[in-house]
Amino acid sequence: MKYKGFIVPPIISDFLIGRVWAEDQLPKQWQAIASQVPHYMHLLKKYGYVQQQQGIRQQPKQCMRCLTTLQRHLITYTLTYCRHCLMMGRVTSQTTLLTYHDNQYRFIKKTIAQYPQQLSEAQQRVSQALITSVKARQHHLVDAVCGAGKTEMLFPMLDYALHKRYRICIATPRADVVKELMPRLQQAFPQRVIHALYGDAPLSKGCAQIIIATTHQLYHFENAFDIMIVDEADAFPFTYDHTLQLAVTKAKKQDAPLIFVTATPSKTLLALVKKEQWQHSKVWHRYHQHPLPVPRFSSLFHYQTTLKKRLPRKLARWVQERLQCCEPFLIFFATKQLMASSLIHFQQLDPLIESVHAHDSERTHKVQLLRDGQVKGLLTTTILERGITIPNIQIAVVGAEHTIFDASALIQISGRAGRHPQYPTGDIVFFHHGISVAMSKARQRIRMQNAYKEV
Amino acid sequence: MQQTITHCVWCDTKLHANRSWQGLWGREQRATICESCLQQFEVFTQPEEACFIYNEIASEWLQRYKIQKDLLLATSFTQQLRQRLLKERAIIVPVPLHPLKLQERTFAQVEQLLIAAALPYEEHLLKKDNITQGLGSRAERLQRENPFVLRDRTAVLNRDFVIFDDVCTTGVTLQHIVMLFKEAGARKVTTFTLFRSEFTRMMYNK
Repeated sequence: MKYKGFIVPPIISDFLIGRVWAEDQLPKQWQAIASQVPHYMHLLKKYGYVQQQQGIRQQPKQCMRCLTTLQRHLITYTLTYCRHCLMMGRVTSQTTLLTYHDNQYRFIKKTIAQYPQQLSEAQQRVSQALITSVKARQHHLVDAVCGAGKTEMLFPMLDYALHKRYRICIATPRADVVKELMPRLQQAFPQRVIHALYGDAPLSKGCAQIIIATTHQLYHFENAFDIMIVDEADAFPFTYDHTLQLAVTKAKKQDAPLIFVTATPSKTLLALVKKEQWQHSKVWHRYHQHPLPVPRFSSLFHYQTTLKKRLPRKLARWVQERLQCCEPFLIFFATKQLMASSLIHFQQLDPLIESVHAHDSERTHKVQLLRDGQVKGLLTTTILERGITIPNIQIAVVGAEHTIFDASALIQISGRAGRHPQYPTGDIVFFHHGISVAMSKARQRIRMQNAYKEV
Repeated sequence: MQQTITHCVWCDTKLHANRSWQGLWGREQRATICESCLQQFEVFTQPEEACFIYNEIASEWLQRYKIQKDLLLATSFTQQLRQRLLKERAIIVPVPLHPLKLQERTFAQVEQLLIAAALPYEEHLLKKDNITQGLGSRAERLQRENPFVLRDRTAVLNRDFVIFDDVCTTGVTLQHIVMLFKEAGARKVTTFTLFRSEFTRMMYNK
């Protein structure tokens, strides 16, 4: 190890390793550290810990933080600024982006892992395959049905990687998934520093060896991770926003393996896997070996006009049945407006029915209430389509033919049901105003998955 | 800012251009904000005084425009501003920033609104104190010394003016300026803002 003549105070190095930030603005929640950084800046620059680059590259124009090249995002007046990552503070052509690198940093080696060792046969097969591809530094796609126990499959590989002193990032497009993964991983690896990063996450201490982050947060990292795992790789906005995919490649080290985990790989992803010869493992069964519940279709013609006045009879009957059996239920709506206008009718049936949407501040609280049984059912938009597990949940989709519900969204929604080994079945109803291609595609794929034998 | 805008400046969805004769003759500027976004901004009850009510979404807009410095948002309300100010006979005077503040913000937000709407204006004011008006109660603010001065007192004599500002909450800034113009001998001085809080009762007492 080469002594550089200056040792960076741990409070700064812990935090800054692998990060990218604009010189004059560290975000507010980092204020405690941000106030100390300028004192050391000249030393950091002098001894080569910090690399500088211009915020926006000219010709072709590109924001060096979010890597967007779209001209409508890069606005020029006396200077050029990026609108795409404006929410994280403005990057202009005059700002200097700083990157902190310290190759000598070593994580501790000894580990206590407390994850459940019992994995099903399929899970074991995949986790072994993951370890081999990490060893060989190959990219890997895990294509496993909803409720196959994807997180558990990752644990043996994570354990191996932690032993190797690797730094790991688990990225996912949804903040809810981050919040749900965090306690599970902390429980599995209690000695490790794990940070959860999302929009307004509080600042945590130490140098995190595992970072669980929303994909947007990856804009803040460069050349930082030895393993990059992307969970729910098919979710909005990851597939929609090209720069997020670039951010994933930017945040990992060049030879670091990428691991994509998803239940519904898109065609483009499958094509990429084939072209670049990734490792590809498939799991067709849930960890409890029961088949996936298959959605049924039920017509609910002109539901949009009916819902303004009253509950359609079929829907009301379905809700009453759930209430009688004391089963928790989720009802998905295509739009927030439709959900808001029909909430009153549901509350006439039972006052303990609530609604959540993306901008609801009590979102996590309400989901917890549903889990505890204090709320009998939730009306929701597509935000709860993935990442939540509630035993014996029953699912209805109102207006399943709407374009917002594509096949993968419907598969994910159906995947909420029957995840618990005690309640392996569940009712999934798609109430529709005419069956769409996406609906039949989703059902076809679920039936196909059930029919498959282990490959 | 020479580029044509194809996506809504507020929610970044694709805009559907509806062509009109007015637009063909260059009399009407194309909308840069989509209709569903525009509906969220409540129209002010007296269109002579302001475009919109200063409410939650308006303050969010201002936050993004002024604090996060998203200059492209200046084009959001060009149509509304032109509707009110294009046929205005009086001279439009934007409320200026302090030079230090301008250096920090890199653009003068009130002027940029007028430039984006392609409206003519004259600069008659200078700000001499670098204080932010948003702090303190109305009474406190009135106590303070007038932070503005006129550039040239003789240029103001016997002319009509419209003072234009981005937001008006208590009306103290505008009141200061109106007083300044009247003292210098202006004939008629009115005010116009993009956002105005609903409860403001403007008082033009001398």
